[in-house]
Amino acid sequence: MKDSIEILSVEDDPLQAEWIRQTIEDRVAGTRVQQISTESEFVAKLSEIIANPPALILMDVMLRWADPSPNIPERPADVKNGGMQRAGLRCQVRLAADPATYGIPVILYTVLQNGELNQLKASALMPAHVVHIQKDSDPSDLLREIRRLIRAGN
Amino acid sequence: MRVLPSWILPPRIVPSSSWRVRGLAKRWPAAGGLYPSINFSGRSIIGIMHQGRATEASSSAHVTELVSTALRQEKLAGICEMLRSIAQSCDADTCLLWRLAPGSDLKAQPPEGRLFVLAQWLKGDKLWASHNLSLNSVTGRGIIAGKPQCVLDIERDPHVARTDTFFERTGAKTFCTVPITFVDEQKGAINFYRNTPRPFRGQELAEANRLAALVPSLYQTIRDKVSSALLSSVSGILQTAERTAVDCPPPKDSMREVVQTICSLVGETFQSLETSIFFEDRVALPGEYELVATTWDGPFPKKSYTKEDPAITAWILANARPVKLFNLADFHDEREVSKIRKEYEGLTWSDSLEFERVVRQRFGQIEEGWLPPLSFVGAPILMGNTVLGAIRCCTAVRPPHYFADGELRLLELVAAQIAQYWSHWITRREAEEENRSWRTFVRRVSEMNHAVQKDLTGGELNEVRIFGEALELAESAIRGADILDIRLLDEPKQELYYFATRGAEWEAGGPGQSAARKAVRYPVDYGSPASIGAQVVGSGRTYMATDLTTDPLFHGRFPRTKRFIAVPVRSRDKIIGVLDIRGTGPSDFAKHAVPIAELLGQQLGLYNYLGSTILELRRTQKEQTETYQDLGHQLKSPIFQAQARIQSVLRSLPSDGPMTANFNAIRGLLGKAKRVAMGIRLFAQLAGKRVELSQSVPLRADDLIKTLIQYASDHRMLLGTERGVTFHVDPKGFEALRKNEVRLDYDLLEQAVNNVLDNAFKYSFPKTTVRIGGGITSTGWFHISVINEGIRLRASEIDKSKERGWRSEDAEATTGEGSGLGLWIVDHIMKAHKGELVVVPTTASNLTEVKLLFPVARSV
Repeated sequence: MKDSIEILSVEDDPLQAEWIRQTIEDRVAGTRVQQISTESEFVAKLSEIIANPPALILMDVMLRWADPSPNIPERPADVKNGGMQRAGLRCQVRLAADPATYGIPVILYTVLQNGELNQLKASALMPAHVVHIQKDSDPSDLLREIRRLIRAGN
Repeated sequence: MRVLPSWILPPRIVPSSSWRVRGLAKRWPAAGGLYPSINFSGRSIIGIMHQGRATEASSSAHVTELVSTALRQEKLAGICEMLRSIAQSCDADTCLLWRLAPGSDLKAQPPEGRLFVLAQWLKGDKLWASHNLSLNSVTGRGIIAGKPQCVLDIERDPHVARTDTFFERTGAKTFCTVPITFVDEQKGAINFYRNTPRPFRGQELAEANRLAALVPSLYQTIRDKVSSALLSSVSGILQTAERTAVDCPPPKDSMREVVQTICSLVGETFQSLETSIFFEDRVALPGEYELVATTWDGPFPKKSYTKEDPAITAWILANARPVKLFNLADFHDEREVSKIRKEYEGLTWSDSLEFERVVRQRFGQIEEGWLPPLSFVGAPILMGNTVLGAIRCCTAVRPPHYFADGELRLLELVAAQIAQYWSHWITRREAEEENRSWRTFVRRVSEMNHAVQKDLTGGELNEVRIFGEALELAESAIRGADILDIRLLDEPKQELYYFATRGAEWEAGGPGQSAARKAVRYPVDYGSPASIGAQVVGSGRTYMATDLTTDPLFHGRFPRTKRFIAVPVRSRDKIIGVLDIRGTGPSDFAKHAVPIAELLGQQLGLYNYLGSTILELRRTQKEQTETYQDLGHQLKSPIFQAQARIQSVLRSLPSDGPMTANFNAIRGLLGKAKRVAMGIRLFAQLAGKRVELSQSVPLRADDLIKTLIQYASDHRMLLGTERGVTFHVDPKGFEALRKNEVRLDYDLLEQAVNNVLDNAFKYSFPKTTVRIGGGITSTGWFHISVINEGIRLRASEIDKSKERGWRSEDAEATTGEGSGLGLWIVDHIMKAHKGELVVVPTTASNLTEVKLLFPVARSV
């Protein structure tokens, strides 16, 4: 039995990532937010996620592949072709591909509006329980959804 | 005896007395006439020849001699040789071949007509004139009776004129005449004269009769041979000309030379005083039939004709029919004139009278009434129904001094041969002309395209100028296009109005008239009868009329217009007007006129479409630009205020602590928002291709250093401290600003520096330092330099990095979202300051240096 409810936040903007972490941990009791900032980091940690699935994943959609460094991991073909606009969706597809992580509730938390997101989702295999919440300065919707999903998980 | 100058007559021919066929009595000199008429009376016939029997051997030899002599002849003059053979066979000293003149009527009561000498032979070197003879003569009576006649003793015969110098000169004592019928059914006779008082009798008469019977067919044989030789020669000349022509088409002068050779050949064969050939050069002088070749070296009353001229040659051209006249002098005789007009309706002859005058001058030493007939024969040179020209011969200077039907037919054959040659040449000229037209068209369209492109770059199509140029183009590319206009359709009113006009007729009434016409509007009434413009607009099809006099659509607004092409001006699938091309000259439009006009119509439609599209696009673009700028302003204003308030709050807070950190983050975010707002404004401005400076203030070192530190700090904060990217501002170089004045737009500097710093931080590797410095370069520029260590630009990417929307593959992979506008905007900002953006890649390490170079206004 874990001491806290693990939430994984995949967000490449450090300011937003920090704000999200603070907001959730402060306002949803018992939660602890882990952070991943790039798609390549998500890919690298996928086996770890499968081994210890979080209670909830907060997924940004437009993510950069990697931080600048002398050793940037080679981009796979789907990343090269799909571009950063679909990075979050690719991560979600990877989760859905494994039974251990298939059922993890995912909130696509993005600046994209519904119409834009639907266009991107058209070619991706989206499980029905993936929800979309648009980023906003008021986090009420996000927090409400997190609480609902946590309750549902329990 | 009057003798013509040698140039006018062939050998052995000397003019005789009167040459008139009719009205001889009034013209014949009462005492001095050489050949008074012989009254037609049976009593003058002294004896009638009876058919004698020559020995078979001698007769056979005579026939052989006659036939072989005839067949040896190459020219019409060879007929005289044939007469020599006959005369010698019959032991005659003189032999004349007579032929009834054209227009004679033996069935009339009394019979009408004259006899002309066709050929003659006189023993020795005696010369005698060709002359005519009335039907009252013994010869005439023989022809009418259809039987040979003999005058046994000329001196004693009461019906033979004693004063006839013919008998005196020849010394003829007796003669016989044998009537013959030519192959063309025309009647004639052969007369045999002896200078001894030994009449033609028995076998001699029979032999004369027998040999004379052969003459018509032999005469025809010689004529055919001459005709064949002429046609063959003409054909040879033309073939040689075609074969040896170097240029295509050959130059006009060499064409003239060829035609002149043929003209001389015809003149020589026909033995005409004047032979001339006229041709129309449809390319250079349409409607004008100019003199191309002639054998006449005297003054020419008229060297070119139009079909409308009052002249025989013009009549041939207009009616495409040959003309054969017995005597141009008949134009003085009203009775003859009415006959001529009956055969050739509408024929006029002012030029013929002039020619007659000139001929009379040439025959100056011959008294009035003694001239030979001024005979005329002319034929059109036809290619199908098209009259290319005419060939004519005037005044035969050899017996019988007129042109017969056979000669007319021969002339027509020659005309047909030349027609083919000239037609080929004209076709080539027209092909060359067509090429020229198309070349002109393509060149001018290309020029117009260039002008249109220039106009459109400027934002507005000058349709008045372009359409005016289009009319000029049509005028130069379409021969004979002399009235041109473009009518445009006023769609709501369904009216066509004149938009551009060109041509003499438009200007004829002066500018006022032209303006008045332009103001005229024609309703587009699709009902019947529709105007030409309405029909073109309604049907979308080209209209072409070659003869407007019979065209019901033409309302006669342009009375001089003879032909009309109207093509639609089509903008996409809509007809916006009509291009009218009218011709007033005599010749038709070339066959390529319609395709050129149609292409021009399409081109004008395209210009119109491009013009309106660009106008619409620019209007939309202008709206967009203004909207972007407005949004940028709206965004920038509250951000400024928020920044100002944050700054004042920060000043009141301690330098560390969570509250200060949050406010610093807010300041950084607002800074970024401000840059984006500014970016939108600049992006909108750049739709107009350049950034404009809104201020120009001196840059101070302290302000710059402070600003750079604040910006760098904000970027570091936005990047996240976890990456460990730090910055260092080296202030030393900026001290140069105290001695060198640099003026700039501070807002734009802020934008440029932030864009450069944004890149520097985003692409830096973790735990590296962004170094900011500057100063005066060795070339005297002030620069701000930003160096970072990270993902660097390749040398090949430097120019691209300044292009709008360009992002390197690494950029997208490592920085995520971005528009690729950063350095593009910086480049424009630097150009607006007359400065430069310089990106310096380094190959040895992962360092990239970006320099902003500003000109120094002055050094203090």
